[in-house]
Order: sequence, then C-alpha cells, then structure tokens
Amino acid sequence: MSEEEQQQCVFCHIASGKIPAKKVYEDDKVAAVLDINPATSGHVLVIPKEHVSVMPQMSEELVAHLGMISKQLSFALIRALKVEGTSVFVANGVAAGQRAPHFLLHIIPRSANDGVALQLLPAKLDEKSVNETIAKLVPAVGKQFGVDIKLPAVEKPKAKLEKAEKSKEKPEKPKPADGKSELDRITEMLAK
Amino acid sequence: MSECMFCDLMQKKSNLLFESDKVFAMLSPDPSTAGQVSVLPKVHAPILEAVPDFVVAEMFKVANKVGIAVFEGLGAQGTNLLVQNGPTAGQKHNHVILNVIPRFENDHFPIGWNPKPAPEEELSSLEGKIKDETKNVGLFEKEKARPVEIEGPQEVKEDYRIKALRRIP
Repeated sequence: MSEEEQQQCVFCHIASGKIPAKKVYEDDKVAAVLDINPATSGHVLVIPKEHVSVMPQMSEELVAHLGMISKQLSFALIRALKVEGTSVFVANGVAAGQRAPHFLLHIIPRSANDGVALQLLPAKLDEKSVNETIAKLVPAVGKQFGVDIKLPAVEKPKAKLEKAEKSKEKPEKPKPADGKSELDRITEMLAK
Repeated sequence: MSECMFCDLMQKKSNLLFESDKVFAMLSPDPSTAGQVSVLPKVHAPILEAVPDFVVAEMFKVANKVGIAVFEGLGAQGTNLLVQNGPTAGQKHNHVILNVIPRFENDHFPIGWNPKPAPEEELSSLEGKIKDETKNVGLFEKEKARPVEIEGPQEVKEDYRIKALRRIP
C-alpha cells in the first residue's frame, strides 16, 4: 500500500482519533472501538495503530499485545453486557472474509441463537486431500519455527465426531459433543 | 485418561506440530476444513479468561506463525483465526482453542455474520457500560521468574553504616 493510500485509510484515522468513534480502550499500540455495523450488540474492533493489512505483517510484540488485549477486552464485554460468551475472530485476506484494508480483530458478544455463523461445523472431508494438505503443511510449519517436524500420528475421536454430526441436524442449538457438565460450568462462570 | 480430550492428546503428543513450554499446536482432531490447526495452552483452561496473559501472548504468536505456514505451504489466499469462547459461541470442547483455518477463494466455508447498523444512542450507552469494565485492560500478568541459582558465597556490599556499627563495642 502506498503512503497516499495509507493516509486515506479510514481505520488509521479511527485509531488515531482523527475520525471520531466510540472508543472503549486505547493504548500506544492499539485502539478498540464499537463497530457501527455490528454482528451483535457490543461488537468491538481492535485496531492496531500502525497500518498493517494482515497479521503476518505484524511484529511478534504486536501480535502478543493484541492477543492479551483481546483476552482482557473479551472478559470486559462479558462482564459489562452480561453475555455468556464471545467469539474472537480474525480474517486475514479477502478470501477469508476481510473487508477492510486495515487489520481488524473482532470480539463479538454471543448469546444463544443470535444468528452469528462462527460455529465451525464438523465436515465430512476427503481423506486423501486432507492427507495431502497435511504433508504440505507440516514442513511449512517446521520452517516457521526452525525445526524439523515429523508427520504426526493423527487421532480422530470417531465416536465424538459422529455425535457431533448428529447434532448438526439442529444447527441452531449445537449440542456439546463432550464435557457437557464442564461446559455448563463455563456458562455459569461467564454469566457471573 | 483425564476428563479432557485435548489434555490427553497433548500428553500422547498426538497430532503434534509444534510445542513450547507453554503452548501446543496440533492438527485439529475434528477439522471443519483440511489443514485446520488448533493452538492450545498446555495448562488445562476451559475459557480464554482462565489462561494467563503471557500464555495467551504465546498462543497468538504461535498461531500467527502457523498462519504464515498456511499461506506459504498450502498457497492459501486467507486465514481465519477463531476462539469460540463459551458454549453460546459454539465451543464444543472444555479446553480453550485458538483455531487457524486455511481459506481459499470461493471455498464456501460457512463463516460470517450479517452486519446491521446500530443506532447512535445505543452505541453511546454501550460505550459507557463497556468503558466501566476496561479500566484494568492493559495491565498484564507476567510470568514468574524461575529462582536464580546462586553460585558461591555472596559478597555483601559494605557501606559506612555497617562499618559504623562494628565500631560500637
């Protein structure tokens, strides 16, 4: 992106305060504002002050900061809005659903049946293409961490997956596949 | 076998891609798309708020590197990062997971939402409510330093006050 385009970036101006927004948090690295076109009430955008389009362009320090701020803002939203959960979501690239030319991290307060499609439904995948993908991904991950990675032993919890697929018939109320009692406790914990 | 499937997988090092002392990156045991990677804290924690700040920082750093590998190794055109924090957010397992999802143009991956404009008054009242809870945001919990091993006797710096004390009979 050229300097001129950066100067026209709406989100750079929102982060710096040149364009007014409902700011709920700010520090030297990021600003968090309420989305004016929210998925649900209280949808927050965490915007890096430095102009970056996607996460891979960020320094490790900024990535780490963004993660910690997101955790704390998620908790703040749960307490402030008395919701039972949040989705913390990033889209890197147009193919992933990114709409703005500036990196945004979304924190979306969630309630039952709110119509937000961030469920990650279990899918029947072609085993051959999954294995081909893994064979390409493993060395690429190793390169990033500077280590050699062997093809790992892959385990699939079959019984659980079948149960999860049954619950797919009612996508409105995804039933937890396991640990239900603990998930109930989580809900109670978050509700406090 | 513990109560947590992911703690068991980590112990057996199943699906392992990368591990540090704090986090574990594994091929998702129940992927929604090929090449989905799950980044988890090693300590059992059901939700993000139960994970120490410095571990969350490492989860994001590891997820970003995995994301770069997804771009380079798979030739993906995009990645999604997603934490489903709580059952209403679609959380299915009792261990917190930061998912890295490879995306390709026209892959029809069912993810997203319908944005609706929010009235100004509603945003203003939300701003006030949320700001009341963000006063401690940005104060991070640091990892406790491991005890430093001291070799040999420690030299104590003497100052004039100690010397002065010795003079008292």
